[in-house]
Amino acid sequence: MEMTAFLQLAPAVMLPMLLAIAFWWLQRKTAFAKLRYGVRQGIIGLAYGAAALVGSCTGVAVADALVSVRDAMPLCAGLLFGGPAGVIAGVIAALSRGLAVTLGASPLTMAGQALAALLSGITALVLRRFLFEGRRPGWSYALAVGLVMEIVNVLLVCLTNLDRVEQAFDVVNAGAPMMIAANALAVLAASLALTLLDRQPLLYDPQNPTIAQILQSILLVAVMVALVASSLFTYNVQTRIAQSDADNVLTQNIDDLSDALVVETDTYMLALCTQMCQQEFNGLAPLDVVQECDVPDTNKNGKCDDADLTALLTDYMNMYGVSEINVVDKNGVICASTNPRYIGFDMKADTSENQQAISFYREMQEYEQYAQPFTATAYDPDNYWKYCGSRLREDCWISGGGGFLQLGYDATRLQENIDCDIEDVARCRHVGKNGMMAVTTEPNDVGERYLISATDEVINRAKAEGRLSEKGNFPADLWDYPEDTRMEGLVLQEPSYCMYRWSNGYYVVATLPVKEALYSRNVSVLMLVFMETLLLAMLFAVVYKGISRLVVQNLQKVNHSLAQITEGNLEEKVEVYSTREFRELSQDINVTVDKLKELIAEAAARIDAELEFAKSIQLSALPNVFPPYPSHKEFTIWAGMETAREVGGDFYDFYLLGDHQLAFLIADVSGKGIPAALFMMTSKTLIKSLAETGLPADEILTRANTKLCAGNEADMFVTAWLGVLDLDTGVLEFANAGHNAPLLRQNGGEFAYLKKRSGLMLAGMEDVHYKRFGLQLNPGDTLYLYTDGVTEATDGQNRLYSDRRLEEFVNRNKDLQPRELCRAVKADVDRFVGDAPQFDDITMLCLTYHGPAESTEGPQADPTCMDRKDEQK
Amino acid sequence: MNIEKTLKDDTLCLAISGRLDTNTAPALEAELKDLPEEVRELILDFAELEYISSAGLRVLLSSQKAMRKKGRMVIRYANEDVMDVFDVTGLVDVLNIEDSADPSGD
Repeated sequence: MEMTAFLQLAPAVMLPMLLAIAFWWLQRKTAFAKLRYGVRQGIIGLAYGAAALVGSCTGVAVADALVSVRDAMPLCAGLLFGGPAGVIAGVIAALSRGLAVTLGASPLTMAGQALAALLSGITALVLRRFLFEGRRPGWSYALAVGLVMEIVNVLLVCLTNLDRVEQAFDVVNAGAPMMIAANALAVLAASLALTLLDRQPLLYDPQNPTIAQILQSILLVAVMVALVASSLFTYNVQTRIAQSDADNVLTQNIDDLSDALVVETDTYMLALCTQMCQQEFNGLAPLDVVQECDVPDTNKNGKCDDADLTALLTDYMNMYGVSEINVVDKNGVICASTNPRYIGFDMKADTSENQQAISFYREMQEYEQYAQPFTATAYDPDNYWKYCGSRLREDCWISGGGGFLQLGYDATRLQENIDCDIEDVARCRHVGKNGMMAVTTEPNDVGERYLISATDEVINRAKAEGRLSEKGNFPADLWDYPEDTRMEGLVLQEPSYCMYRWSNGYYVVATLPVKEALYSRNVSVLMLVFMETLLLAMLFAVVYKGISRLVVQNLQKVNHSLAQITEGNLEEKVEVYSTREFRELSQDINVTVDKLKELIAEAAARIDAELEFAKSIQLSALPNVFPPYPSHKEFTIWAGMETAREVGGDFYDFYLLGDHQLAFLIADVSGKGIPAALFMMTSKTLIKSLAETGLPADEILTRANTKLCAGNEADMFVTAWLGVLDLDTGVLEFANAGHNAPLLRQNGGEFAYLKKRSGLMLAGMEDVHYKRFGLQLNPGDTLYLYTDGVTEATDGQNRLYSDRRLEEFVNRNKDLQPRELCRAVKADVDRFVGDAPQFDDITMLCLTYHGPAESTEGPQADPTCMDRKDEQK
Repeated sequence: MNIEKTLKDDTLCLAISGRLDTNTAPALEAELKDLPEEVRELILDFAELEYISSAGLRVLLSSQKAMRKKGRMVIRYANEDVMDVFDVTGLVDVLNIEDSADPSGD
């Protein structure tokens, strides 16, 4: 039944998913996305409204309720596509619920369900706008909203029918689980479909959860525990209350019926007793009695003997259908009895076995008539007897005047006589609404035959439904329980609470269906679960929103500021002052950044100071007093270095070797900064010490290379151009280790590059042998050396200053003195560069030979020009 | 600067384009430091290389030293400007240079 019902609902369950896929496709693949927002929302709203109509019309009847998938439609429209669509679909869904009445839906629940449908749309709008910040919620949230909305639906049905709440609850109870499941499934399917289409993850990453996810997980567990605990508690308490109520109602009904039975039996017996007194014993003994007695004398009032009376009373006993007749005289002594053993028994005798008799006697002293309750006889505890009595008149013949007549019944005998009188006693009684009262005789076989009386309505219904059987309509073990004790078993094949009592020779049974007894418990537990689920949902929403507002948004602000700070903007301030924690965090971050700023400034100042110091050491290592040797008029030299950073990798050097030779060099270390500066100092010192040993230029470089290669872990190298000028002869010997060719001006001509085959730069590779070249300088000849900081200076367009431009410039200024020439070149380079940043040191050295000091005559021509010699090699 | 890598058997070809200077040399240095173990021949394609500074030369020298132990390093298609630099610095004698512009040293 459940399964087939679900199959019937399947189309309506699938519908929102199919619509979701269709609109997803439309929005991505067609011009649908270009329509105005309002138009799109309208179309989606109408489509889902139509789906709600379909859902309302394809409802499935489960028990008394019509289960339909309706609320899911506005929810899907609102949550998945936008609030306005949800509201439009909600309005249509509410109207469609009205229509559904004509198709058999309960009018009872119409108002509540229509309201719920409308509310679904509005809820979707509110949730999407304020909780999910205009975005589509994940499938788990959509599922939760679907579940909660259906619960709200159920609660609304109950709320709108408070005056008929039981009826409403029956409908709800029958249909709610299925209704909730079907609608939730519909929302789940639609949101899952979109999640998959958008290739979003189905579950959050447990390695990388958000604060909200963790808190919600904890909250979920905590609230679920609370929900289960409180539900169990309520369930138990309500069960106990319901069972106690059932006990009361069963006991009361048994009391009532037992009383009724007492009245019936007492009335019957007393009437019989009175009748017997009047007809048989009061007045003179009837003639036939007198005749029948064996009368020994002529006394008209003569007495029969005991045996005669016993026989007479036995006749009466059989005639009246009682079990025992005793006649008690006015002294309380049994004077005649159907049982000869009783004759002469003194009912006043106060013995332990005689309590029943003495109490009977005392009652008879006070009242005209008396019916004693069923009591076990003194001689047989299992034999129950009931006695009643009626006073005899003063003219009674059998007692001799006064006294009373006592009739005794055993239970079986009594039942035989009064069964027909108590047939009606239970017929119109009820226990609760559907509970039964019954009077039966046989404890061990309580089938229909033995039911003396039972609630008509219940029996008839059971008969109609085929639940009444010949035997076993009560639980078989009912009689194993003590009297007046509730037990649970099948009554007329329906689980019921039962209780019995042995009363007046009958078993009086009261039953109450368990379902009815526990009805209020079920209502309160179901309502509690629903209300607590709502509470859980609200808690979720509050935590979600609260975390988002208090924590996530603030964290994002802090992160934004931190990102700025890490990018180097130390002026950025974190200003999240909404809560104490964030205020403290903001202040801490700001203080930290300020401290950092201070430290950086301090460190920068310290490094600046150290670099300044290093720079002055470096510069002081280079000869920087011009003219350096005022006594030597043979040459004019000027050199300068400008570093791109505080310390540089270029250097120049010159020194006199003895009195007649001037060694000079320019060099460029690869790299920049401190490493280059350190390498430069090493190279400079090394070359100078080698030069001072008087080695020729090529040998200086070869040896320097060997030393520099050893232990050159950093793979640095240095280019160098080294010249040794004989001041007397003007002979210049030089060697080049990978350095730019210098410009040379000879004999008043133009400057030209002195291109000679260069060796590898120093420290580049071991076992390099450099060549020595020779050149004759004549007075007035000028040599200009530079580093690539000059020729590779770049302007704004990334153009190089270039060798050609340098050559042209020096030739335009060829008559300038060394110092002025260098300064002019530097000025030109600066002009060329403009604002473009420079990364290389600029170093230059310029030397003009004036001829030997003694004479200013022409050069001492030396035909053995080493230059030529080398070239021939 | 851009580096395009092609590894075929034990031959790795790095085509370097743009400027190889102080700013870009560390990238090439890192590339050459992490050479695959099996590489026996390293070919540096300088067809698109516009400029090389001393920092670039330093990387070439280091690499040359490293490759000499396990195979060889070849420089191909260097243009005239780059060849000038190799010439001036004396590197023409040290490096294996193939299919490149004539050194303009006379």
